[in-house]
Amino acid sequence: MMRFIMIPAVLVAVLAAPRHHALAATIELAGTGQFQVQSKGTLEPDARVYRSLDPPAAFLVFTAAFPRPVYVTTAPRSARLIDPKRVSQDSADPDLVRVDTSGSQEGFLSVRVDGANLVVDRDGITMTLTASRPVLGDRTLEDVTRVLPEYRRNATRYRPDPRALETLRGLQQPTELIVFFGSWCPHCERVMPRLVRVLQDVDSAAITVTFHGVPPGEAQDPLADEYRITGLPTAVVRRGGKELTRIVGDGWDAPESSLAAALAGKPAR
Amino acid sequence: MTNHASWPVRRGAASRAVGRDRLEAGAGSLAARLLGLVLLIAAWAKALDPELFAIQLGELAPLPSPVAYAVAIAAIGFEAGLGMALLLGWRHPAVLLLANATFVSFTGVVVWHLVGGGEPAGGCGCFGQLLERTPRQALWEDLGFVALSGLAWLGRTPRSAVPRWRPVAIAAISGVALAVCAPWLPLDDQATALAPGVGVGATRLEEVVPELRAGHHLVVLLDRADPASTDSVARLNERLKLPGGPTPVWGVAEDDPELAAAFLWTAGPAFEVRSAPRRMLRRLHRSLPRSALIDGGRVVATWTGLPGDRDLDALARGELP
Repeated sequence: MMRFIMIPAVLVAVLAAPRHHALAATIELAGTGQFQVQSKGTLEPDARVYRSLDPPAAFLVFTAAFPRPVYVTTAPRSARLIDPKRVSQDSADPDLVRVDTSGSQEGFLSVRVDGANLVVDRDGITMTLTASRPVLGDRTLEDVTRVLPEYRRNATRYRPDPRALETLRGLQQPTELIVFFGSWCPHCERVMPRLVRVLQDVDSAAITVTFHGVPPGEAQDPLADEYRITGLPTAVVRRGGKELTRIVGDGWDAPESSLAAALAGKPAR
Repeated sequence: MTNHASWPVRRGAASRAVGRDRLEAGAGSLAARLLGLVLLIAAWAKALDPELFAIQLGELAPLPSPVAYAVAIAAIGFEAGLGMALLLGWRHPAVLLLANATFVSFTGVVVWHLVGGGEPAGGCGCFGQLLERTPRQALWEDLGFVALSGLAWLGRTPRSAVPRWRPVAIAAISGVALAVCAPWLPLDDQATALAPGVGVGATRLEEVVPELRAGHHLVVLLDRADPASTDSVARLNERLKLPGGPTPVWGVAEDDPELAAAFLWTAGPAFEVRSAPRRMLRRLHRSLPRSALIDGGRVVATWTGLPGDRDLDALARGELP
């Protein structure tokens, strides 16, 4: 009789027991431009870095230094080579991958911290994961979306107001946009992709855009000083060599509407 | 007869003259006392966080930090003394000249901010973090004070030049004493924009963490270069059972990409740490780390450092301490 009670009880206990988070998790990671990879002491421009969407931060790095992708966790700090079969790309979002971290944990690499660098090493082969240098100076729309996957990904998720887009598509007079931003600025990462999406959707020859990357901290930027930029991001809208308006603050909630409202019916001076 | 006939006219003129003198004296005295009050409040606001005032002075003139701090303490004492002198109606020409010079210099600083394209919003003007104003708003306010300091010259009498050395000295010494002791006094809520009852919009934290507008959250302001902040991360991870605890935790730290990476590798926060501009962050603390509990978009509690173990345990259970 006891056996009839004990066996189901043990089974229930085993099934209900809490399992280790890392042993049964699928981690979602998105492409990031905030981190870069160095292997053999040189920057690896073609390396792809993905960062977990939820904390604690984890990274998936595709690097030439190792034959398989490297999965890095920060809490606890560890790095291991991961079977590519455990990595799947989202069918709708090319910048989103999922890593199955369940099952046996092997292929560990040694990890050490050197200032801002996380150095991953195996048998003398090293890969360094570190903060990207800020994107500085004048850039095109294509540059920005290429080097900052966060902008590319957030742009695809923004839904601009179709009426404002129509207004912008109908613009005939040449209009210039100078967009001051910081690639290191989290607020820019949230709102700038909206403008990126608007510019991609409008795709008008009448609108020329220059993205201008500003350095972080107290470092000076001559162009930002010339335009007296006091906050990021700021889009300066110009026509006929003269400033018409700026998109700042709440104007970034729906940049297409801000832009359409400012430009509709305004002749070049 | 002629004298008698003209008497009422002369009496009226004299009466009007006396009335005008009284009006001038009253206006001058009121202006001086108002300015005195303004200066005392301004001295109090600066004395609560003299380090911030020293940083602001350092932005105006390239002073080494210890010198800027000493100048800040002296300026607070001066402001408190001058404020008390004016509040008591001591309108000696030297006192009024000092008041004129002080308010003109305040205005000059604001103009300098405007011309130099300073912060679009922030603790501009003489009230430090007590009032959030743009340089333009601060300019109008300071121009008003300059006008008042001019009005304070009106209707001076021999009585208004009677010295009030003792209360002035007491005010100046008290201002200096408060400024010197303030870092060790529990005045974070009074000295910063992060205090119970304040909305997250007013703290500007919602610009960095929009999620704070709803629900309850623990926000921890961190210095990524400070070991105390690194240690506090381990304690938060453990006590709040992160990741996945019932209370969302957000770290907020200065926007330095290299420090952010180093902090990520060394501290291993199991919560998101977002970056904020230094100026924005400095309004919210006197020392780091500093924590705040946000509920429904309002600050409900603050702690210098981290919440105590009992409070952290309550948060780990999803309860408000």
